[in-house]
Amino acid sequence: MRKTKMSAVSKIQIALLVLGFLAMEFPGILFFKDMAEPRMFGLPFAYGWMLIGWVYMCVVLFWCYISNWGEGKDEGGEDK
Amino acid sequence: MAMSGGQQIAALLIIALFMVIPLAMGAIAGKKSIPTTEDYFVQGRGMGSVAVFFTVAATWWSAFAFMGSNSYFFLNGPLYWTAIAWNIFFGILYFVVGKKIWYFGKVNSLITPKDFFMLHYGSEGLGNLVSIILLVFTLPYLQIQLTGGAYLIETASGGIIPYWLAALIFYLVIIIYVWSGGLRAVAWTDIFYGCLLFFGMIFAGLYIVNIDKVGGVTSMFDYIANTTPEKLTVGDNWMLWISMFIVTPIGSFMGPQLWTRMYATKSHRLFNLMPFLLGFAAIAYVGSMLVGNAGNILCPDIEQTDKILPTVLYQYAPFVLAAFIIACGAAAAMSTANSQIHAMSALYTVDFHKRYINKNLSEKQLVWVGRWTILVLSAVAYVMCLTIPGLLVTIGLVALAGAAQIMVPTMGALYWRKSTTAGAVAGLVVGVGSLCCFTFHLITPPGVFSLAGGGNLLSLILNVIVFVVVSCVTKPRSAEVMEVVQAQFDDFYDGKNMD
Repeated sequence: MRKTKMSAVSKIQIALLVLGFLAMEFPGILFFKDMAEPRMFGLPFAYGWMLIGWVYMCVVLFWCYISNWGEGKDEGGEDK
Repeated sequence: MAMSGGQQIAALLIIALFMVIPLAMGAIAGKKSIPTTEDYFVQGRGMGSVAVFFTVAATWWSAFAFMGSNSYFFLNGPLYWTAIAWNIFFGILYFVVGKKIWYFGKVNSLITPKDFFMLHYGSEGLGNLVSIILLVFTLPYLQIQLTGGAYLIETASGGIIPYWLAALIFYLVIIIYVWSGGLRAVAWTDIFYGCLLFFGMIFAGLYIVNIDKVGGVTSMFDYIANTTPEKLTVGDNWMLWISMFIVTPIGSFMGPQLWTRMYATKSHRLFNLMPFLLGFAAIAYVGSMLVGNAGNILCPDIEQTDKILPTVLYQYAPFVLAAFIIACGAAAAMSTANSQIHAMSALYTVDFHKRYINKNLSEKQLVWVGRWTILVLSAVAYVMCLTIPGLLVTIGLVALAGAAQIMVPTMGALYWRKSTTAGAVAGLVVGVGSLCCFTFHLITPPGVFSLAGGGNLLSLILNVIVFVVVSCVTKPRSAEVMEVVQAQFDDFYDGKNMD
């Protein structure tokens, strides 16, 4: 098990990913489960909303990768 | 759907081509293989980045994704669109859980999931339970690959090759190349299949949505809004929306075929990149979404909704293009089926045959046991596909919900010091038992869990609750086990033994 503390950057990255999942999944049942309008990119609302979520998550995941997540010096691992 | 004689011959040639290429790859891979279990089952832990990405993606995307998704979009509108999120979730699991599984596999020369549980819990009984659950619940998932592939070959051949024969051919090809090349052959063919699958899904959707009768995305959704507006919203399927998001990636990730790939990976750096790659690749579902929704215009009365894609393509696309894309679908099914057969063979050979039936077999003899196991398991799946009907996605979700139960003791091993063997066993028994009760309608899930998909999610929640409660009141894991495991965790976080 982990003995070292997670870095602030890693905490922010995880928070952003959790936020993304919450935004993609829960509005689907709380707010737009019966919404087809307004359309986004010509698609019904649910489709468009999830596409925006996909773009957001890809950007965050790419940042995680280039920041060498989980392997920085302050994580106790090797640095990039 | 009537085909001319020339078209039938062309269709058979295209199908033959898609069968010959993996056979050739298997033959080449077979020449590189060494007759040891580590080489046959985990490719000597030397699988490179490109092969890992494509074999994971192609294994993860199956007939469930290529054909079942079209059917779900057709029947239930945006419900399957939760797949965009679950693909990203699957990728993140690869980093959060997969990297640690890879590390322990590398340091301790693990081959199967049972090896991992014996290391972390020190319990052979728990390891056996995990292996049995994985074997039992991977079989139906294997069955749907065969069913999906056979549907496609039957349709692509214009009915010349009947369903039973299509399934048989499909499996013979897989058996031959997995037999000869092991995981190396599976990974190489998955690079080929992965490319076909990704571009096939996207291209099929873009082509179909732009044919005159559909008239583009806006026109398609205007039509649906006027005829079946309920297919534009998630509506009452919200429980299934959440359940699929959680159960599908976890279940797939815990499948024995994914454990094999985690153990086989050469470099730890790839685990950092996989979440982005797999998340980005989720965009291919746009193709399925377009095909499924276009089905409302092009074939609203279709009875076997899993056949939407081949039906629409043969009616509205040029023949060669249709046959080619359908072959991509067969690739999706084959790339998953080959991995599952191979991984199930490893489970039986290493976890049971080597341990309980004949402990004195040489490495070469064990590889032969693995090959014969491939033959037997394939035969079982073949019989299942001929005798057990059902929608691809429906069968797939139950199979994934079973495999997903393994995630609870896995997370316990990796992230919770207090987790115990008794807790893991009790959680698995309750989780799998409740899943079976819900699936066979012996018990109706209570409250909101009685909605579609609720039983699968509830069984996983029950597993977690029982695991935590029992772990808190039972004997902790032995000090010896914890000492060994903790030392390896320390090395992991210190970046030791990574290369």
